[in-house]
Amino acid sequence: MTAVVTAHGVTKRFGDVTALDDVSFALAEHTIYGLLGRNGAGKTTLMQILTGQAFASSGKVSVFDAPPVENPAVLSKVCFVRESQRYPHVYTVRHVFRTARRLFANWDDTFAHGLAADFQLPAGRLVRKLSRGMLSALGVTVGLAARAPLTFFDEPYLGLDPAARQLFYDRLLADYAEYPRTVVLSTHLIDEVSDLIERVLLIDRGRLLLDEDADDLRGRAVAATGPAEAVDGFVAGRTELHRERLSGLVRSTILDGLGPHAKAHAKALNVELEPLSLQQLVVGLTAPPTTTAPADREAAR
Amino acid sequence: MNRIGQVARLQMPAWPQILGWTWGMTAVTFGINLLAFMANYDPGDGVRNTGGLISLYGIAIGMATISVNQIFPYALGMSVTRREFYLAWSLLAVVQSVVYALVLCLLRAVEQATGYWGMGMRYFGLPFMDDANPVLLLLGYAVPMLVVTHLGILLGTLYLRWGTTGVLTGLTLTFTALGLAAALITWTRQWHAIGRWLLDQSPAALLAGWPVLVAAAFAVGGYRLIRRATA
Amino acid sequence: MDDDRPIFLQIAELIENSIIDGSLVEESQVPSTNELAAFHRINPATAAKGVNQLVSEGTLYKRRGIGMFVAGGAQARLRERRRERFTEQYVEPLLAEARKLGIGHDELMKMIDSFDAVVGRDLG
Repeated sequence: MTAVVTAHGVTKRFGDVTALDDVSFALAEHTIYGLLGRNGAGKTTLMQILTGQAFASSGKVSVFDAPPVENPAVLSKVCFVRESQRYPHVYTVRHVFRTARRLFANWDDTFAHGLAADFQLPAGRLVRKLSRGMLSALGVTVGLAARAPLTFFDEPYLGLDPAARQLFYDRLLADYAEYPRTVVLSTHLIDEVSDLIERVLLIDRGRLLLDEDADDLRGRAVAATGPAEAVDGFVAGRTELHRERLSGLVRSTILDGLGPHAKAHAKALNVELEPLSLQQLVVGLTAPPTTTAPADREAAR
Repeated sequence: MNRIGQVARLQMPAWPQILGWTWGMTAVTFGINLLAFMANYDPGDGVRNTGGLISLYGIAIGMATISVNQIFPYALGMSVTRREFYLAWSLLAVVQSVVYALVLCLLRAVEQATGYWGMGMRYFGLPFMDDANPVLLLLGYAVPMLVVTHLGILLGTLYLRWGTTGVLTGLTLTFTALGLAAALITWTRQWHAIGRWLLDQSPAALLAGWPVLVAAAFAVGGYRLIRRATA
Repeated sequence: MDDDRPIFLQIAELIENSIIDGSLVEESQVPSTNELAAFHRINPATAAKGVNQLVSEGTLYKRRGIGMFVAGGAQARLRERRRERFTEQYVEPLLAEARKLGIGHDELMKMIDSFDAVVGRDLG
């Protein structure tokens, strides 16, 4: 694998808050990554460090074989579409495109204007007067039209309605197919992008929880439903993430690749298995410790 | 150099605003001074100086600070390095100083031609400039402008690093240092020596020589600060 | 796209289904991976993986510079494979459910016959 980014032991501290804790991974070329995690998990901090916009407290970062900080050769191949990008007070959409054209080597002006038309972005409008959705559309347009070999999208969907989001995903896929690059998509709308991404990086409270093939994670988490003893029998020896109870029925969220034996086992015990989506897996892994359901609390009394 | 030029052009959409505010406010100050002179006009007074032009230099500080704060976060977002940004802004400072100096030379010429605006008000010129050669004249306007512009950039980078607290702290520390220096000089009775040294300096050195060092100091300080700035 | 199986397998299955029901004829060209990716709104690499799976199984073959084509005899081979899985995938669950509901062997056969007749009539 040609590694476009390697991170080794990246740690970031703000006072006594550890935003990133010993994070290590590598990003390959020509791949779409999903960077997932809860709010405040450290996703934006990580992306800022990878793009040289912020500084790690410790650890090593290598982008295109060199540290990204203050490195024009590296940064000219990087585009970071931030969720909170600030624009100069006097800038219009047109100004943004003009500056992008001058500063990004691969900038495609025709593509940019086509996207602006798709998103109904008025070229002459002041950026500070754009709605949240239009601001996202602007960011997304710049990120796509810059065609940088390494592109980061930080929660690019904020304010975009579902139709606009679908438009973004479609344009991203189409352009990616024609001009392959490394794309990192940080998002909460996991189910929407789960078919687009090839690999998943899951960050929780500053730690890297998962770095895996998206396809491998499909069906990795399963909900096993059935009578309590049956489910207990099935769950034995497996990693249980979560348990819910409703009168005699128990539903257990299990984290385990299920082989054919497991399916037979479940059938024998009369336990129903239901594969969970990537989003449900992520929620299961990053949710706070199990909260007991009202029925549970009732039974516990 | 081309890349620095491209980065410098990030400021271009703001030029109408920058020029408008700077020269608009100068025009207003000029107008106020003129009205004041008109009220008190006595042909026998000869030529009197106003210090009004200093407002132009003061405004330039603020404009530079605002420009850095507005555009640096955007530049970072466009994958520009801090070094590229700072070099571009230093370049803009030089260009602006020269252009403004040329305009001021022109205005001074008009001032002289109109007999100091018909009422002996010297606004754009300084007394010693009457003997100066054109180059010295230009430098006399440009270098102080370069100094204040770099001061503005420095304040801008202070703000980028440490926000309002940083700027206020920086200003407080500076005034305290200056105050202590003045106290020290008074205590050691060195004002005389300093005064003599200043008088010994040629106008060239005073306007275009030593201030360049000050500008350079501001520039270096600002660069050190911006190296660790994040958007 | 389902949640439980890798997407590339689902893509492979969709293509297989088209071959089996005859909508993709042997020696005809299969949509390109980019077209598949755009249509199903999935990653092109995943679509490619699904296609490559079929190539390695001999269902598709590649013509350099042109694209992917359905191999000769693919339909027959796929049908045979599906038949082998038919028992496990369909007959077994059918019998299990029938047993659960107490539907005896004869009643089950009667159900199948009458339903088949209705369906047969509708399909003409």
